[in-house]
Amino acid sequence: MIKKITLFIFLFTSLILSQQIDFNSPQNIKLFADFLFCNKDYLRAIDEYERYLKMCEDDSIQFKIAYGFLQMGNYQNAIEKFSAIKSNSNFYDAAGIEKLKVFFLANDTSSFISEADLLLQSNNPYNNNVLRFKNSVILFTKNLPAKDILLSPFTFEEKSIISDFYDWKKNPPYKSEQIAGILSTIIPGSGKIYTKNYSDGITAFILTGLFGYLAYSNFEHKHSFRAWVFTGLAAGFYAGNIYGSIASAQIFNARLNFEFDEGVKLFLENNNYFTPVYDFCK
Amino acid sequence: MFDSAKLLFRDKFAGREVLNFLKISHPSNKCPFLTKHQMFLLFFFLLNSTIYTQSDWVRWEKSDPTYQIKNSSLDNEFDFKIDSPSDIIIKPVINAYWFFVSDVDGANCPFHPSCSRFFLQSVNHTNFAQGILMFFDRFTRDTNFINRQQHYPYYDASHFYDPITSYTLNSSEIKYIPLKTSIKE
Repeated sequence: MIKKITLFIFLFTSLILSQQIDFNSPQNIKLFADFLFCNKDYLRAIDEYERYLKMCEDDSIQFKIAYGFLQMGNYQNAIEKFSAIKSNSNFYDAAGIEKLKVFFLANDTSSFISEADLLLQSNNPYNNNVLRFKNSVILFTKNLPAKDILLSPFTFEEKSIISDFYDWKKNPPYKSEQIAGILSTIIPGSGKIYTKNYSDGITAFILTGLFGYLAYSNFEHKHSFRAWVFTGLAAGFYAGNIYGSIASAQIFNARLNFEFDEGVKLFLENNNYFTPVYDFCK
Repeated sequence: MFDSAKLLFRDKFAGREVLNFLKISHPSNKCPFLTKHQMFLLFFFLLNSTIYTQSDWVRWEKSDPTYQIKNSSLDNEFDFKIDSPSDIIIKPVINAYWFFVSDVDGANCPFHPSCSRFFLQSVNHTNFAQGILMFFDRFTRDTNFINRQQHYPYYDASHFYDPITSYTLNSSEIKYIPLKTSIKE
């Protein structure tokens, strides 16, 4: 009898005091989603947040979903989710500037500019950030405004960087394709040296000179077949060196453009695209 | 016990090597189990195992090894189809070069695509005259062996990436790839 009572009490207390967690309660879903979000597991976090939104309405969660899509590089969904945030939400203004970031990262410059202009017409508290972001992105376009206008919204430290970018864009240190071609026509390889392709320039000079000399030497010694073969090769290397110098100038300029674009992108990245910093994961 | 083992081996093999190996009871031997040569070999074995062992940071994942010996001639797509007048000259020359020279000599071009493929691609992409000029320019660059890593991205461990699109004189086709990056098409 005592044993039965002991067993009953043991089982009863086990049932009563056992841990009972409702993993599907909204609070726990949100907690789990927050954990995933802060661990940058945005895909699963978004699934959990969407489950939560079916039970509760929360604009911060809507914003987090959109932010998660942005972090994942899913720009189409990010735009849709940021646009779905209502104007009475606390996150409405932040969503506006985040949309700019999405357009920029998706390389949609025309949508970026039109969205930025719309934001600047409104009373967005981040208008200064929007203007700085817009003026930075304008550096990628061909139509630059006056330097003072472009630099006006930036801070002192930012101004010096943007000023350098502006000057570069106005007067890029490109190498002229025509000059490269003409130089190589006069002295083989000099066009490549002009485009800072020193070793290729010297090689072109040696090859053209070598085959030219072989042709001359064979003509002089009456070996006309060999002489004509070497003449053909010398002519080929000579013409190829002119062609290559023009191509080399184009590649040089493409490299400069690439470095400029990367520089501006790095500047924006370092400034977090002028978007606010959120404390979702304190 | 060691003496009995020594006797056993002497009886069984009657070989000096075994006795030398078992210098276990010799008082002059500092390491009773191993000779200097054996220790040297063991040291090298352990050193190599340590150096070439898989480190923790290498991710374990499914590998898809192929045991087929790579035949470079398979890379050369021999093609006798004449699509344009220039093919009448180029195709026989290229096919003959691949068959008699390239396949025999091996893939020695430091670039991807190789010079012969570059020539073929450039003629197909542009025209015969421009293709010839592009080839001579490529051959000049191929001859220059100095500081290639400062001019071209990597294609794989032993080739540099040098596509024809950078040399068509159409600047919109140029896709600048930063140096020291590896491209695998």
